Amino acid sequence: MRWVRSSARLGLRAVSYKSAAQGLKHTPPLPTCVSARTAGTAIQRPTATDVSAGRPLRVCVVGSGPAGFYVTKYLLKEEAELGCEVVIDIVDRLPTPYGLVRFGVAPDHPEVKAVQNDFDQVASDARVSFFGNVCFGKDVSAAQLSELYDVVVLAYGAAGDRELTVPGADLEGVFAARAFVSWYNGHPDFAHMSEEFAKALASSDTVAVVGVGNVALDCARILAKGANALKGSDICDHALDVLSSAGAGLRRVVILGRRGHVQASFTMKELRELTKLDGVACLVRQEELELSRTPASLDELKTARPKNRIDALLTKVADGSDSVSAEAKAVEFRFLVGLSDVLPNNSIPNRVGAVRVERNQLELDEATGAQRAIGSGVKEVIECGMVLGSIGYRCLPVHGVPYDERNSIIANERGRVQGVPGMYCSGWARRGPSGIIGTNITDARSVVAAIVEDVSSKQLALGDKAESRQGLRNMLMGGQDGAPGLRGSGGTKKKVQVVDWDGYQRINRDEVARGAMKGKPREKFVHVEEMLSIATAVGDEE
Amino acid sequence: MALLVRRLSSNAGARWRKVGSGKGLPRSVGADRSAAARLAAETYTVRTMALVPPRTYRRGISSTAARKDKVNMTFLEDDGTEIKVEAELGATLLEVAHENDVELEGACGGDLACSTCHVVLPKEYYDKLDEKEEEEDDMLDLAWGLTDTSRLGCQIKVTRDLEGMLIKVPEDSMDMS
Ligand SMILES: Cc1cc2nc3c(=O)[nH]c(=O)nc-3n(C[C@H](O)[C@H](O)[C@H](O)COP(=O)(O)OP(=O)(O)OC[C@H]3O[C@@H](n4cnc5c(N)ncnc54)[C@H](O)[C@@H]3O)c2cc1C
Ligand code: FES
Repeated sequence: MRWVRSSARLGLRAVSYKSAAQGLKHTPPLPTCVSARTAGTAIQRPTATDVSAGRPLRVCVVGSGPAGFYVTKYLLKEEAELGCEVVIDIVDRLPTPYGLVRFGVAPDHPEVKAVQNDFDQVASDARVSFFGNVCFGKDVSAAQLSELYDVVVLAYGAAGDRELTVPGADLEGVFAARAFVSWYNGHPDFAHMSEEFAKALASSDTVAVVGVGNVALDCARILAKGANALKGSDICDHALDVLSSAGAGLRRVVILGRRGHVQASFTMKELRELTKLDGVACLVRQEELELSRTPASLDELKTARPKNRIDALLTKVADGSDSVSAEAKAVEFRFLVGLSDVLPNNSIPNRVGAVRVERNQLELDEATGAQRAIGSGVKEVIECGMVLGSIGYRCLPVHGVPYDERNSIIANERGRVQGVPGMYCSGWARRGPSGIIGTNITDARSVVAAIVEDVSSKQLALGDKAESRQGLRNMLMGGQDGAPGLRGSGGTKKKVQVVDWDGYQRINRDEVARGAMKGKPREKFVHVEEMLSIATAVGDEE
Repeated sequence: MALLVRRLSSNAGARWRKVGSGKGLPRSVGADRSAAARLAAETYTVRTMALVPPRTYRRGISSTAARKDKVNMTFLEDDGTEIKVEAELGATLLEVAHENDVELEGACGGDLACSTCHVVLPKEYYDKLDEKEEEEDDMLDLAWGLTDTSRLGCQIKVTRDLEGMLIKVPEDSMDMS
């Protein structure tokens, strides 16, 4: 059935739109709609481009975190504008999707993870295929993907750290916050670290967290809450074990900010949560807040509502801090203290025993308007057994992808990877490690707009790409075996064991079932081998 | 059945969208639809229109005259598209938006944990609403383009007081360069 609309006056273009909808599992078929101008004659696609010539736009998205999924979601909505069907293959180096929603977002924030439902819906679309356990840069190169696909979108996030570089940072017991977070969230690369965290926690009752972003606050909260308060969450058992044994003696988490509270990047929700923890006091020093309120900071407070509210809450907490007993379990904020060095433990010299910090002052850089921290020479030693450096995740360079060294991101302009037509980037790999899940929506939409623009204006030369999806499968699995997922017939030699969406669903089901037995939403598998064997398991289906 | 209409987009990437259907493509499916909203979707006969007035699309219109348990509202998307809807009493603005295929995300499914459902309301309506909870303000602090009359769509329930309200979905104003 065709709908006719006389809207030439409005400049509304006609579109005939069929093929795209046919494959949808969950959406009703889209209609064909033809303007009055063409109604008589046409069923051809009056497209913005002739890309199609009957074939879909073939897209590979690298990374299945929020950026990868939002790019996929919004690109699928552009079929009418592109004038052709869009098929998208999502590649991830792990057998499980969702990126930092799974391995970053704290276990006690299940509501944040609800976004996975949205992503599931995207992945279940018949136009989308998931290629888990495929590492870009290792199993498949940038050049190979460019060869196979019309459009490649790099959304592989930031899988490295900005590391602490002060003297002593190499002592045992000093970790990147990313390692700690990835470990309690069950990232396979960090599953082996339980013993190291246990040793560090057992060596003292204090942990120092360097940095004042939300990741730092997550670490502090998880540590301070302890095993009991987390046991109903999806935190990994290995982390619960360590927190309930070695972590049981923890009394204090000190959060160290190099600059003032006005410059801190944590947000109100996470801060408020820290001030309301059961059995954990939150400590703030009034004099440090005062020291932070330079004329430039006060100006900032006047205009920025979020900062203003944070200032008010910290002030309130500081007012109550004096009355907290010294024995109470506490999370303590320190502002305007710069890390000078990490000092060894007196009895175990290769292990951290304390951090030495220097009182900083804020100095206005007239040129940039930013306030820098300047050391005053006054030092203080804070004893601790574990140091978490939480000064940022870092996007790592991948061979064949232009890299912006200065900003540690993929070299790009508005999401277009520099010098590589048809290659785009989104999310943390594009912008650097900041912003919340929602930030990736705006990001994804702008990248999708760039793709549509390039395809429509024929900036993008679309060569002869016959069968990208099959081509990728053949390349990875090293044979003609086109069976999706891991069901290859016995004879084919597979180089990479690809986990498709059904494979992930098997992992998911098992995780949820394991969790249910312990009263947790899920118990994650933390070894890739284990995941792969579950993903391949046949016979457990309905 | 539905109709595709070109979004008159000010920025690059004009989009096509479907109108005239009460229930659109699944979107932000994380949002658990309330019973009320589900009911609305199931029980209303939808008239599909062949003619769409310029930049104003009417959706979710019942076959009979406006019903007593419905409130008229208009969503204004960031690119200027106006979408007139009849909203079920008791549904949240997020649910109403999703029922009517308005471009409004709801990443956390209405659990006050994402701020992607940020909307801007006219002052006279904003003033009629119950005070925000502290938690809503905390999440709003993370929203792009925050204004004095910003709210989170998942926290506002449709009442008769909201008849005629124009709901702005704020522009993505982030500098992405
Ligand atoms: C500890 C922590 C807690 C957070 N908590 C919140 C929160 O509560 N609320 C909120 O809104 N935001 C939160 N965020 C921010 C949010 O997680 C990010 O904004 C978002 O995940 C970034 O999305 P991305 O897709 O760019 O990267 P990622 O989520 O990191 O996704 C990247 C994906 O790429 C894959 N990948 C990496 N390298 C390769 C490769 N070589 N080949 C193939 N695939 C690869 C990874 O496995 C991963 O799946 C948090 C972040 C962190 C670090
Ligand atoms: S949908 Fe997440 S805060 Fe409203």
